[in-house]
Amino acid sequence: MSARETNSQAILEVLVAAVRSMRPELTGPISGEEHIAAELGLDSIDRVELLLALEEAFGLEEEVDPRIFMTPPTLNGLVEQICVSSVASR
Amino acid sequence: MAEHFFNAADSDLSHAHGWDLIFGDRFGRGLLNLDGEPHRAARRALMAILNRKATAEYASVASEILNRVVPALPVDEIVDLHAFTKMVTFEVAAAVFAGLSASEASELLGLFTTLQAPDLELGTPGGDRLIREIARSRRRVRALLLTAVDRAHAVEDEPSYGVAGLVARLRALPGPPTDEEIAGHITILLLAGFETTAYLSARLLWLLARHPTEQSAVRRDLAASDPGDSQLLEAAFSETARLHPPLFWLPRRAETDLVFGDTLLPAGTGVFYSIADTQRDPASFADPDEFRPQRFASTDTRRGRFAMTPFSAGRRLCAGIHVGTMETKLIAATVLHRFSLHAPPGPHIGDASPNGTSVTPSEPLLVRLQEVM
Repeated sequence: MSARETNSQAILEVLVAAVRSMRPELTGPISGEEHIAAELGLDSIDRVELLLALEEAFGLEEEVDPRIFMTPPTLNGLVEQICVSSVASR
Repeated sequence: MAEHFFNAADSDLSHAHGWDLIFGDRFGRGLLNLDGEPHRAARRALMAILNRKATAEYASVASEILNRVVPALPVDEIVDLHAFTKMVTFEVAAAVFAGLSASEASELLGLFTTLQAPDLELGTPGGDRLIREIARSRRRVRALLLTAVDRAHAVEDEPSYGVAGLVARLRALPGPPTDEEIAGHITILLLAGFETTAYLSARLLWLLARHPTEQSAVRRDLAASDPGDSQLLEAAFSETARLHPPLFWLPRRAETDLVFGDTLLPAGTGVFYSIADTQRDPASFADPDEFRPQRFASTDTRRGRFAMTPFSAGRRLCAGIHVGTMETKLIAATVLHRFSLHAPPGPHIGDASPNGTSVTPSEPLLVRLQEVM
């Protein structure tokens, strides 16, 4: 598994854990392909809570651009955006 | 036109999407910003904790808080009425609808203040900081209110009113809401309950401070009758709600192409009904900019059905109308019983509406208090 895949997996795990704490009623598996609004029931502020969860988990201090959290329709799409933007910002 | 607006179905003029234009996702969902069947079900369930009978129960909670905070107001110093009423109304709402203590209410009010901050553009340092603060605040609001839901659930007695009644009635719905959704309902009740009542009660006291003759008359009337029965307080309350409705504009969004009079409103248009302008229509109210409570003291009711709509009208009439009216009158009565109010001279202070719907005074509403001899 490449470093990038490991990283993506770790990010997805953080995001899924954050979704479960916001929506404890989602007890089934979360693959990352569910629609963030329609299936996971998250609104725009919930998306920013995902950002907070990510920054808290990785010890980042307001380093991630909130805009990349606003549009991806799925968690996997969001993970991809985060990876692209963190590579680009290096 | 007004009839069309107030009678429109949610599927034509959406409440939820109208309020989304005002505060987006910041406060979650509740009675105010739900549409259709979820709204109808929640409204049926929650009217039992918002009706006249329930309101009578809350009057004692409000009295207890007022009897603590009003005597602590400083004498012969300048008092900012709106700052005072915001603190009081939030504490009452948090006690009644969430069972929270004064210190928990104070923390929650700080969080609500952050959630009400005007939008800043994302991608700017200020905007990126604010959106994080908003998300942190909402996370903390949810945690506090989930605790409130848990405590309410632990109530052993048959829950009828307040937070215990609210939780029990929502949980009894077919397809009951999750605890997070119940916390959302409480958040919206707190927001809708405190902001409007705080503004209206501050305005009422300020207008009476500016009109000493009316102030003395109301005080005399209150010496002879309960706040809920005083005709003169009722007239001053109505006149304040006419001149300074707590929501200047009611927000909706057209969900289909609609025709209002000669105007076509394409689907997606924001539609705002101006309560404030309608209530200053000289066709309905002579000298409409004057504070004249006696216009409500007569039984002359030749005004049109929608001339006065400070609590909206029709199907979506403010669910908290009884609680808001009781509390505004109780705040006024408690302050007037103890103090006479004097406002510094100067031009009438107008209003500002940063979000395009609810209002705050454009300058602080300042008064000086003296103990009533």
